[in-house]
Amino acid sequence: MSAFLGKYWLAIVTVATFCAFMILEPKFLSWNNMMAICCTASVAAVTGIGITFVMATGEVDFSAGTQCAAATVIMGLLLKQSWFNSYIGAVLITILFMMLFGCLNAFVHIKMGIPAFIATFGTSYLLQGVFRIITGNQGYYNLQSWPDSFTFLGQGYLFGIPVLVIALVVLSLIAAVYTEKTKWGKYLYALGSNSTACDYLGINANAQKTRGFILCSIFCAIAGIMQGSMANMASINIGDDSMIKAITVIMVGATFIKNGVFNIPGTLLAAFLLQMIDNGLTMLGTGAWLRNLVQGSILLGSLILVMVFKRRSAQIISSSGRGSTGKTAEINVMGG
Amino acid sequence: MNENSLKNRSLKDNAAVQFLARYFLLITLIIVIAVFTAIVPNFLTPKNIFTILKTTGYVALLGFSCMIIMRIGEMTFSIGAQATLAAAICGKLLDSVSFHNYYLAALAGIAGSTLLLMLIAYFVIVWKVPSFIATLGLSTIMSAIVILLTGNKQMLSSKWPESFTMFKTQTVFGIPLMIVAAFAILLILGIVNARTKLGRYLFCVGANATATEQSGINVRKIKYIAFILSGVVAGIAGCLQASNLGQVPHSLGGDYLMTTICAATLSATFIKPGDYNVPGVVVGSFILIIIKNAVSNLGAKIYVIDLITAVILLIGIGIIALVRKEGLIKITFT
Repeated sequence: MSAFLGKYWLAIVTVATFCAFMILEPKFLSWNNMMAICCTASVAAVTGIGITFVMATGEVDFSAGTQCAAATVIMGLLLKQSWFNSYIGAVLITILFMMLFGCLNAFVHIKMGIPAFIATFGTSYLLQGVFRIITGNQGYYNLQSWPDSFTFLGQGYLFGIPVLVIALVVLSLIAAVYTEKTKWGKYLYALGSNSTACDYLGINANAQKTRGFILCSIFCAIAGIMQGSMANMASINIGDDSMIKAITVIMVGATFIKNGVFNIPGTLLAAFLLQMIDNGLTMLGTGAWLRNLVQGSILLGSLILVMVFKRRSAQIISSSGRGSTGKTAEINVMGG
Repeated sequence: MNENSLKNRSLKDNAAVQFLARYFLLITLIIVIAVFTAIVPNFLTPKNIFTILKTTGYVALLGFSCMIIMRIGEMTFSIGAQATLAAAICGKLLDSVSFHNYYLAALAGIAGSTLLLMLIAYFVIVWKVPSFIATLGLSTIMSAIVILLTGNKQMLSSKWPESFTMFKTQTVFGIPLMIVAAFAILLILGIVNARTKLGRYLFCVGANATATEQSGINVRKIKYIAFILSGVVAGIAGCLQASNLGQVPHSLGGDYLMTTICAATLSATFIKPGDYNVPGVVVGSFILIIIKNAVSNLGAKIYVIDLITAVILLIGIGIIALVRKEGLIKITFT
């Protein structure tokens, strides 16, 4: 029973929260509102999936939020030009640019030997600075020169379902298959849980990390495109908020099913739960402070739960004599 | 504890590179001052110097409280929120009808924000919760409390006693009290950090917690002390800055969070590469604040700072990463 609760508590909390809001606010349950929640949640979820690729290897990409913001700006700027009107082309260029940025992250971390946390901290500043200069530190909203296709991804519907939700489903399926079913996905997690063992097995740690950074950048680029399209805007100053949201999402997600491991279903559920709470509280007309308080408490609570679960499972394993130390993966942020 | 074995790390043998790595920050500072003196009008006037030094003192105090956490191998993102919370509690208390003692109010603010931090510290130290993410959560909660206290606008009250702005108005031999107080505290912290047993223990915990535990030092206690120091110093910084500004903006600490982390990180490149130290924090924040001040004096766009900060950070840490085999102190999280 306890194990069941431990595994599925997030689902139970989600259902409970859902019911609570349903009773408190009748309009909450409308199809439009549900879809609005799913749409907003999908951006945080895709960013979260991106960061998962890096976190799985035991590193962290602090520039993810800025990458999302930069992606919106690239899209907006490209489509603003009169000579450029291919939407697909703009998407490809954005993703390509972000892949290059992912390479830069990997280069600074691996070749220059700067700890990933500080390296990405620095590169995010670099990216932010460059784009602030390019845009003159202003956002673009609903420009006339943008083609209609600009908002299709974020506001369009396909068979009555928002395109964003469809995109989220497709992307998370790809990510889930990649991390769970392929050798390359397994390597990422293997590196994070025991880098020494990977070294002995002949797995090239640097190659895995580089792949993690580039995958993260691709997903962040897509998340940025989704966000820009949804809000019909392009601005470099939305980065910090997306970062903390995405980190909250994956930490809460890590408490679902596989405790302590970043996993895709957990990330999706967590993104939905957090956005639902945000939406519900706004509907109820509570102040900004309550939303902040709830978001922070959920982050801390899930974090503590992850550690409690981990410690308990470690005790169970060691007392049943299987010889595992149950040690948690430690991310070596500085040096080493 | 053999001090030499700690200091005497195998730097690559080139003396010039070694020198450059050690004094990169100081060289940058001199270049920055020289360049800005030449191109910025009225840069070296006493008024401007005092403005720079005031902010430097504030940022260096915040930088210390970030640095001390990084020194024990943890990470914190709640420094700014702690400073704001302490100032907001202090301001709110003085705003009430019956409470007029500035010192007691400031003490209450510092104690309040430190207590909240200690709650997180307990989970970080005992339950091994990743400090990096835990403090992100903490800062969100703290900003919720700050919004609740300030009503999401700048807190300014006519009921505040005159002593609230003492660090702005009073001077010591012509130097504003804010500067004197901040640098006096930094001096004491610097001595504690570099010259006492506690300071060395802090380094040991960050460098190798297991070995430190094995040599009979209570690692948990040292970590708790580091967190308390961090909380108290951040609170003091917040109260000082609120007094200096004469109000409590809700972005009091948050605005300087990135500068703070940058200064704390850069400190590991100064004098003793690989070890975070107080002089490094002061020089680091000095550089960043000078650039900020000069850029806004020149009327250039404020976001140029992002680029300059990033470049200094990457070059500084890059040099250390290249000349030191061990890299920096490890920070573990997740």
